[in-house]
Amino acid sequence: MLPVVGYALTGLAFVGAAWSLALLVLDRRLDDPLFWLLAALEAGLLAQLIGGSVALAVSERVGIDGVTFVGYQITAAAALPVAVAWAASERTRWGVGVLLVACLTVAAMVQRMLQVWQG
Amino acid sequence: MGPGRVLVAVYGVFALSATARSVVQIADSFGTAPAAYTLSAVAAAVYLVATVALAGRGATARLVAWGAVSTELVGVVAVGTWTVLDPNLLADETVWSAYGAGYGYVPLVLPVLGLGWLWRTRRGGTEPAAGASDRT
Repeated sequence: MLPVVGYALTGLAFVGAAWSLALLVLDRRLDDPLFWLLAALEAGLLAQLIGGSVALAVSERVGIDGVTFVGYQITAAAALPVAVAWAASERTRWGVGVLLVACLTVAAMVQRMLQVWQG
Repeated sequence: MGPGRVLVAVYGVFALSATARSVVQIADSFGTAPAAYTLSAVAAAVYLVATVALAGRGATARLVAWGAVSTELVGVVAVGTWTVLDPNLLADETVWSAYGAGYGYVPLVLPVLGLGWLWRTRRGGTEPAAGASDRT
């Protein structure tokens, strides 16, 4: 995988987490800017899933745990929509709390992807 | 569910990651650390049960949640203390080793929050209606 993509995804996830935290503190609900930010993050995670899997397939490096790597990519890309759906069914401020957890989890999973890719 | 939804989300993350890690450990190299990997599998099962029970409704779900979260607290304290006193006890890390230090001590904090949540929302408790006054 391209490290720069990993850093960009991590950055987006942290911005999403900070935004979610701000909404939680201010007692607001999911707003348009956060929604589009999460949509961009999801698009990036899907691109990572495709690009990373192709890179894994064509790479001749040894020592990469491919199952774990692809597992993180799939889980990260799947986790965000699930979290948004789970958050949307909560009418109190705690819905964005779920998004906060999701963004931090995505950031952690992208870090693990980078580590696994290093071998 | 209010703040309980965030709790369930964190439990879900731990259930998922502990299960995935445990499956990889057991499928890959069970023989190198059978005790640690069995413990990982037990911890994963406890997180799965706790997540489903905390997300569920009704008296049975609550009872199961009390049991699972209590088991989790006893597990992380017992395994944590044991591995701190004897770091060479287990041949590999588990989610509960050193009180969950490898996971930012979340495994130690989570059951405390879980028990607090179950206590606060018990029947006759002080849990307000959704959105009414859950300012913190």
